[in-house]
Amino acid sequence: MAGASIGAINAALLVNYFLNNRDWKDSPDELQRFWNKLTAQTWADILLNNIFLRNGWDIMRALSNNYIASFESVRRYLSWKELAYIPFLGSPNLSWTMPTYGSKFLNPLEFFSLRYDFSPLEDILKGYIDKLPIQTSFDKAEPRLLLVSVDVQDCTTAVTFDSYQKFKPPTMKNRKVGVETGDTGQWYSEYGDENNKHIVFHRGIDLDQVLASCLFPYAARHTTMKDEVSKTARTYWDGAFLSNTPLRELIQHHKDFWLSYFEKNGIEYDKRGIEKVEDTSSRYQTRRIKAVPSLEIYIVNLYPTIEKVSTPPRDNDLIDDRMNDIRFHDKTKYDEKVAHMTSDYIDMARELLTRIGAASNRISEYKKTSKTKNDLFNELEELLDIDKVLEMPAKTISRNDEKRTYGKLLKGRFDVKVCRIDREDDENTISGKHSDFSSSTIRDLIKRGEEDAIRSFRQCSF
Amino acid sequence: MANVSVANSLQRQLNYISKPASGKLTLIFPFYVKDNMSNSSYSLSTPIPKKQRALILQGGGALGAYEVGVFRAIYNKIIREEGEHAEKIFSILWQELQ
Repeated sequence: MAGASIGAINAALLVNYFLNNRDWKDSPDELQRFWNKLTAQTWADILLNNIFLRNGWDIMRALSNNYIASFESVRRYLSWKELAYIPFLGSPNLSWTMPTYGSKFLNPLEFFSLRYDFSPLEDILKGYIDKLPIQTSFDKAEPRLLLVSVDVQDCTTAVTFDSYQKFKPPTMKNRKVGVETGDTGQWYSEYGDENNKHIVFHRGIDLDQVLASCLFPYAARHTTMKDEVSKTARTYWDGAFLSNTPLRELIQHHKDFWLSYFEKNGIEYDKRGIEKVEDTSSRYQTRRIKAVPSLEIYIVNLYPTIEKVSTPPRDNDLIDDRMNDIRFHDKTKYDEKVAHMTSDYIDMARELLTRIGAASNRISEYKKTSKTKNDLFNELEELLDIDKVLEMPAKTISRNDEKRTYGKLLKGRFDVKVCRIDREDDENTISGKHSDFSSSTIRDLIKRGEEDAIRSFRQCSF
Repeated sequence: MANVSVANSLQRQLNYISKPASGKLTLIFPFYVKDNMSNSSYSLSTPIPKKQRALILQGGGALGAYEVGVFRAIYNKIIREEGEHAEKIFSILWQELQ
């Protein structure tokens, strides 16, 4: 399970449910129970549940030639404003709206601004997620939880918090970083690039990591963690701002985990596809060895990619709404394509290696049986030496500053299949849709999610 | 049919397969797996699956409620297609052991 922001909360709840029950039965109900708690009863929901008001508004809307918003949009808009913009109020199980004072530009219009205190959410999370810190393991057949966040002062790459421990201590220019724990493994996240690398240790997925992934920039408090490289405290914001659909992070962590798992357990694994068997049989033989498991991925896209209306948005609220869609929607189709293409290149290289291996074997066999002394055979054998090619240096270096060889590029290939469930554009949409936790909105979203998913499955290959 | 598939898979486990199998295996064998082709021998409490399933959940505040419905639909789909045993299948997809 991989998630950013509210997706991180949902994913953490589901994994926590599994750890308590050792199966997934009733997990959808558990998620639903949590959302019932998160839902807020708004005045707009109560007061606008009135047929006379609705009819009156609809008449006005018709008279204005649909210039004014639909009645449903108004209900959502008022719920959003009530939950997010009234000082000292807020969403009872989510956040308190706190006013702050002062404008560095001395602009009287900006003298009041708002911050959000998420302590109600922290309390409710502590109640629902009782297995904190969440530490899971493949050996116990437990699910993996990956949460994505962003370091405010270095957004080069996203930060991924993993519930599976790593088997090797982190290294920095061939020097070990942090505390040595031997073979027991440890939890840490590495991010940034080779010039600005950061390593933070944690204890699995604790409340701090969940909050790091979901608290948006205007929250009153953010998670901070100590960077073992720069020895500074790092602050984290909602991962949605950098990687709202963490497909790339998932694929990378999947591969990293399996390669280190094979190495740790001394398992001979897939390095160049079909491996040659060193035996005395006359023909070139192949066999399969352990490989990184392929991945079937479901992606839930909350922000519509395609707009239903044919004209671009003109009023400010719809412009803001569309800006959010563009900022946060699923942009991973290209990543998926790159993953498929890389697999294709690896497959091609491996196919070539297999054929070269077969050809080389045939030459050696022929040399042995015919007992001819021909320089051409020696020359061909030299030319077809695969190991020489595999030891050649690649131009790229790994994240641990290790030099790569062509051989390393072929390691750990696996297939990826993706099934996307896209939330469609909604005619009553408002820019503050992420903050409208009113009960009728939440009920409607849950229903639509189920219907859309069933429809999407028909287009999925698995 | 299921028994044949199970027996075949066991055979493959022990004899080390040379070709990928197309049949589905929906049982977990928590036994030790010995790699008889390599020098290293190892024991694993959880066999390595051929496939794993992942779910990516986006952020979006209140829109996260949509994920509740999607999750229910995915859960029902898996239970329907892969049977009761699918309860385990969400963490790791035990379709066919390597």
